[in-house]
Amino acid sequence: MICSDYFVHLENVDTQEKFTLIYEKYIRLMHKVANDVVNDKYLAEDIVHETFLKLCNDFSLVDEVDSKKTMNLLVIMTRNTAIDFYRKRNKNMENEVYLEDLENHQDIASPDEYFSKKDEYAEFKNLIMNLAEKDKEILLLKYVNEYKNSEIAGIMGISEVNVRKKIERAKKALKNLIKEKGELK
Amino acid sequence: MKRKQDDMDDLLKKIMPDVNDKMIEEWQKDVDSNYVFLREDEKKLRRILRKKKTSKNRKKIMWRLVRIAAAIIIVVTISTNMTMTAMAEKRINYFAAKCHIYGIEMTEFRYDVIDENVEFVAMEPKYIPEGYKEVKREESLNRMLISYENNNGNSIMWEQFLITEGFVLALDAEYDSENVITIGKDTMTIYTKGDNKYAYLETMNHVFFIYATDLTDDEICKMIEGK
Repeated sequence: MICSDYFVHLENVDTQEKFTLIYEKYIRLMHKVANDVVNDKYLAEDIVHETFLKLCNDFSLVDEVDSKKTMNLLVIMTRNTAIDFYRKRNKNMENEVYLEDLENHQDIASPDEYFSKKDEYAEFKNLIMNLAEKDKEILLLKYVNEYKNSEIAGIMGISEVNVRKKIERAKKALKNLIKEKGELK
Repeated sequence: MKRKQDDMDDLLKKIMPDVNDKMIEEWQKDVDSNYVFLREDEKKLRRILRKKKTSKNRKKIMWRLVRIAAAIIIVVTISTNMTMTAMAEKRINYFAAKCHIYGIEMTEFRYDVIDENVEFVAMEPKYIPEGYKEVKREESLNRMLISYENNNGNSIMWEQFLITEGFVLALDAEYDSENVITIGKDTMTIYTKGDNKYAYLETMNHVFFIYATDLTDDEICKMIEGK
């Protein structure tokens, strides 16, 4: 991938400058995220470039360079691009199972404890942390990045209906937890 | 019920930033901050990015080449023959010059449209080489892009533009060889660098561009002939 491929989509010097800073700051994190999926560092490089190209197309979604929102967006876009790459190149059943696991892994039997019990909302946070990766990512994009459902659908490569369903499912899980705790009359 | 929904939204807004922090912590584990990208194009990209910082903004449309390991294209052919409509006069003037854009030597084409009443007419290839399937399509008022891929990971990109006033095309000025082919009354040029091939055809107010990672010149001709 060549640089002009990126700049063709960027309107002016300011956005190109911002792009450059983002590129230099996040490229290795993105490479790690991609490599975690495909386990091939060279292919991961291609995935990173592909993700940057996608980013150019949706550059209006990008927040400040040094923001968590930007990191969220880049990591989530990279991961989804990597999964798409993996899916296209490996279509046998075994790999589908692997992808299923990547996207939807949930260890409900023994959920991990990420937050201390001292934290007032620890149970809710742990519940979210133990959701499937894709569901967590959607909640991040919705409630941290504050994107519209249509924007989230574009980033995740799924339908808007699917986005809404996943958000509702997460809310339902939280509601059930609240009921269990007897905090909801 | 509405109240409960709002409660859930409020709760999620409250807890998600902390969840976010924890997720970032997980993502950043084991990131190799010294990893050096090994591909040649990475080095080139970095060099260009450095030079870019001092370059001035220039209004232009540059050609996007998907999945190209190294840029190769120069365009030197313009067909003045008409095959697409019955119009009897040439509709495009152009001016080409060498230039440097972001540190890359390129050939820049500036077009003047004589007749602005031409509308974009999307044309896709009727011949698709065996084994290739459409994987992506983008259409707008003055552009169409179709990408094809086969099971071996090879790809073809078919792109068509309507040339409008102020349209500027800048393509990289490096390639291994070129093959000028006459198709009907049009002239197509196929450029080769390494295993990649690029074909350019300009006819009336439209420009056609084909990029292929593993096609022969004959197959590219068949695609353009069948548009």
